[in-house]
Parts: sequence; C-alpha cells; structure tokens
Amino acid sequence: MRTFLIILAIISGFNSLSQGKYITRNGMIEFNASSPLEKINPVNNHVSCILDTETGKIAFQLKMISFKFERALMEEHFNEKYVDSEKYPTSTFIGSIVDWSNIDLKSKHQNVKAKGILTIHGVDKQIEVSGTINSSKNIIQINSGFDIFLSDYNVKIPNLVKDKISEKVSILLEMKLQPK
Amino acid sequence: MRRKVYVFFLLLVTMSSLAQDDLLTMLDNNEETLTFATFKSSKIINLETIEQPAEAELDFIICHRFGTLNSGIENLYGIDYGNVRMIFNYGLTDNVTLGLARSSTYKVIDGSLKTKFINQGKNNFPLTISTYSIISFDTLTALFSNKKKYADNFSYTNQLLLARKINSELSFQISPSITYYNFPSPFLELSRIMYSLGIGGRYKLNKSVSINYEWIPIIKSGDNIIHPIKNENHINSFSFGCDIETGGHVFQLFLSNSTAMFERGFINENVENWSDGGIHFGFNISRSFNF
Repeated sequence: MRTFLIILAIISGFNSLSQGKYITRNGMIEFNASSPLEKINPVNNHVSCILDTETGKIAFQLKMISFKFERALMEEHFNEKYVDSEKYPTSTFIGSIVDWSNIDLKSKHQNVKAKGILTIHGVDKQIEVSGTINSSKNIIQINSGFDIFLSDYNVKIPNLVKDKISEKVSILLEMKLQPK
Repeated sequence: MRRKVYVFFLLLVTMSSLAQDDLLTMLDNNEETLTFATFKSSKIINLETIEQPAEAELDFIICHRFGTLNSGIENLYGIDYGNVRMIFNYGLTDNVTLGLARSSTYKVIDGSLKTKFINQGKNNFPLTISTYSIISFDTLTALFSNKKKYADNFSYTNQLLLARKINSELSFQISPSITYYNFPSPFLELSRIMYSLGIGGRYKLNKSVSINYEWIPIIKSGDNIIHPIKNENHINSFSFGCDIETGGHVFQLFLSNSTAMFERGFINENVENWSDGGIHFGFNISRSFNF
C-alpha cells in the first residue's frame, strides 16, 4: 500500500513537472480611455503571462503602477485617485482558452477565445474575449483586444473630469511566451 | 510513516486542484514598489515637500498672501493687501528640480535646487529623503547695509526633507534647516546663522481634498539654543489649510502668520502672531506643463 502511494505521489509529481508551461514577464498591455478632450493611452511593458499548454489554462498579472502615461501627473492621478494602486496593486486574469484540445499549436494564426475572471481594482468579473494565437520556433504569441467599462470595476470618475475620461476602455495586449 | 505519506499525497492532490492559483503564484515576483504621491503638491503650505515635477515637466506655482485678518473692516480684513510669489520649477530629471522665483515681499529673487536621494519603499526604506537649497537675492537689503557690498544681498537656506507616507491618507514631513545671512536685517533679531525644524503633515479627507498643517520652530540662533515654544525674540511660523486637487491644478487655501513666501522669510522673519490676529489668508495655485 505504502509503495503504491509513493509511486502515485512520484508520478503525480512528475506529471506537474512535465506539463509544458510558457511564460513571459515582459508582455505588453495598453489601454485607451481617450476622449475628444484628452489623450489617455498608457502602456505597460511588464505584464506577466503564463500559459499551460497541457490544459490551455492561462493567467495574466500586471502592476497598475507600471502603466506609463504621457504625463507624470496623469499617472499619479490614475494610481492615486482612480484605481487605488496602493490598495489594489495588481490586476489579474485567470482563465482558460476555450476548446484548447482542438487548437494545434503547430499551425499559424488561429482565432481563439479565452474565458475567465478579470480582477481590476479588487473587483472580479467573468469575461470572455477573443484573440489570436501564433506559434513559431518555441515562441507562442498571443494577441487580443477587448473593451471594459469602468463602472463594472467600481472605478469612479469625478464629475469635474467626466468629459475627459472615456467610460469605455479599450485594451490591447501582446504576449510573446517562451518555454518556462 | 504511513500517515506522513498520506498527508504528502493529499498535499499533491490539493496542489494539482489549485493549479489555477498555482499559475498566478508562478507569475508573482516580489518587485519593490516605490511610494508615490506622499503630498499633492510641492508645498505643504510654505514648506517645500519631497514632491517634485517629473523630468522635463514645468511646475508653475502662484502663491498669494493677503494682509492680516486684524487689519479691520476698512481693509476688508487684509484682502486689500496682497503679496505674490511666482515660482517656476523645472524637472531636470525625476529627482533633480531647478527653481526660479520672485517674491513681491522684500522684492526677493531666488534660485533653488531640490534633489531626491532615496524614495520611500526602495529596499524597504521607510523614508523619502531629499534636500532643498535656495539662494535668495534681496534687492532691498543693500539699502540698509552700511558697507553696501553686493554680497550683502544674498542669503542661503539649506533644508533636509524627511518624509514618510504612513498610509494613503496620512503623510508627515520633518525639515531641519539652516539659514545663512550675509547681512541679517537690522530690524529683526537675527543671527547670521539660524537653525529651525519644520514639522508638517497632511491628511486626505477624500480623493481630491486634504488638510495640511506646518509648524516651523526656530531652535537655534547663532550659538544660542532657543526653546521652540517659550521664545520671546522670535515668532515661529504656523499654518494650516487644505489642498484641493482638480485634475491639472492643485489649489491650496490656508491661514498663516507668515507674510513672506520664501524660506528665509517665512522661517525667520515673522512679525505677526496668531494670538493677536496677525493671520494672513493665502492661496497657492500650481499647474504643471509638459514640453
């Protein structure tokens, strides 16, 4: 019995080790909340992403303070007044790619959908987004673009600047994952 | 032994069922986060804070100080009198700021340099430490000087700024400073070297408004140690007010017993007292520009 358990344990241990995981820590996410009055289009080049190629599970994580704005003051206001970066330092997405078993990583440029929970400003929300997945020479590239609404994540914009910030925010992402 | 193996096995099973969280844990990297927005503006009220414009940013500040509240209805409690200081602060880098300013009080032009040495949060350091140095060129001093040397127009203040953001609402700062006069005004009880210890802080009431205060006791004049409270020859500056931040501008509205708005003046050369109504209403407006 004991031997059996040990063998099982070793096997399951091996199992989790042998799973193919692809990772990056320099992924790019930009968002656009521009209005006719103000351009708000910051970029974060330090996004982490990990994809488990066995299961199609995928996770993203970024630090809110790593978004670089055109103006330092805007960046400070973003962190201090709108998304409370001290209280909620990171945003995450955890989910999986839909129909992973039908996706052939050897073929180029496939349209995929990902489903999961996006957490921004401490608020969890189930989302489904579409994107593309490309793989070549051991690099898996993921691109996606989708919109979110500030009110869904309890981000309040004061009346005074309501005209300057768009309620609908477009997000673009590009990840180049390498084997872990 | 058997129990241990069971526990181990159970652990493995739990781990694989938590695979989702596991993915996120794999992404965790414990990068340090630098503290930001310790204060809303580069001034608490009169005192400089550790805040400074980012690289290539120009911060333009207009400081306005009315007359004293005890000057009577005929002067609308001080509103008839006004002193202005215009400040241009330019960020050479994120940590070095050059400033140029002119005050109508005593007709002073000054140049300043603010340098940040360490930011709170860097290697878990508990404070932000900056220095602030200002050279004042007093276009009136020489009139009172017997020898009328050109150098008599200059005075210098050096400050060490030690700030700590306790939490997102509460921040404190201590600013020990030394002022050196080439020619101390004969009308005031001044030594050539004056030491003081500024203490200030802010508390945020909501995302756009904070209340601020500062108290700047003179602690040493030349070789004489001065009691910060029982002090008959000098009047310490005390101010309190609020910051209102509206997107691009910060408005600071406050009451203070200091007339001058440059370091040497509001630290050492106060002539009005809170106790007899020598209180000035004042405001600062700051606006930053990018090039």
